[in-house]
Amino acid sequence: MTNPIVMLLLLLVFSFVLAAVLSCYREDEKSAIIRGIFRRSLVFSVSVIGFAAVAYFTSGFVLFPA
Amino acid sequence: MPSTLAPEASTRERILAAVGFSILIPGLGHFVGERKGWAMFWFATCQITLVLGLILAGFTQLDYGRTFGVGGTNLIYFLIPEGGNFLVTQLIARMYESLEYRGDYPDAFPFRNLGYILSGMSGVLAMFSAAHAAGQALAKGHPVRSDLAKKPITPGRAAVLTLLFPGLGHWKTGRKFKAILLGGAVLGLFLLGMALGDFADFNRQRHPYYWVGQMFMGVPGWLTSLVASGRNFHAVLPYQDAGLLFTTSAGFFNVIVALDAFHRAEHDWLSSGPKSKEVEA
Repeated sequence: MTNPIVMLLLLLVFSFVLAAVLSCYREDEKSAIIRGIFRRSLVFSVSVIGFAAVAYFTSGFVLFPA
Repeated sequence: MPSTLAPEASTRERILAAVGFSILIPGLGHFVGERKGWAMFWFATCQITLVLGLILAGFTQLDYGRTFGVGGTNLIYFLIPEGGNFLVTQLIARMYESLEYRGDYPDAFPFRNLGYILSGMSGVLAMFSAAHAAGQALAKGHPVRSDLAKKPITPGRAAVLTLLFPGLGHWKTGRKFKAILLGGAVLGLFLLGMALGDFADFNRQRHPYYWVGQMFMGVPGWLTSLVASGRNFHAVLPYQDAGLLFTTSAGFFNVIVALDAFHRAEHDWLSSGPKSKEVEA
């Protein structure tokens, strides 16, 4: 059984690495890379959490068999 | 509009030819570019690892490939990552068949995992040999100034160093912050993924598609797989899927890191030339 807190932590770790790789690919200066990491990891993790929330409520209410 | 440096048209053509020839046969791109020592090195490394790997695994790698063709013909045998070593993989796929498919028991191949790693290495190294050949072609077309205190490394070498260790290519170009950040992030993601899968995740038989991505992790990944090759799952782990995602993503991220190392080293190289040419990005 998975724990939501652990899943959230794993999402944050993955978001950080994804953002680090993308920011380093796009930028070459330290300050720009650090700014890019914060922005991109926030956008990615919030998007995934948003999709998860939509999926959760959809499966719980809209798609729930009557 | 930012400006960037770019090689001249004639050099770009040589780079394209070097990449194309290297994909056909590793080392051929170097040979055409008159780098015969490197040509021998890449050819021997890629072919020895491919043939040895196939023999050790009883040619069972061929069970993971498919043929594609038109009108019932078998034009191309598609097998990744071995297919990076294109022509020899095509030849072998037509000359041999998997011993397991022919009826041998799976335990007849005690060095199967080592064989998979070696043949997979061959394909990945062949792809990176193309990057190396491209760097050599660039160095030949655009020599750096002779008065430089420190000669920059060629782009191909920066990419190949990334395969040795994530971030090493950036370190050698002097980008130490990026090197530590990328090396720590990619290697950390890979090791966390392996830990979530109880170090039994790097297995071609169990996860052949994920395994392809994991192979791009380079030397740290290959060594981890060899060390952990005896491990098996004894239960369904709660975060096993996340572990697979992490290890495979780490491999693909390493490709992006290598591309960035190549691109940055190319910029440094062209900046150090006597006749650098600015073009609009």
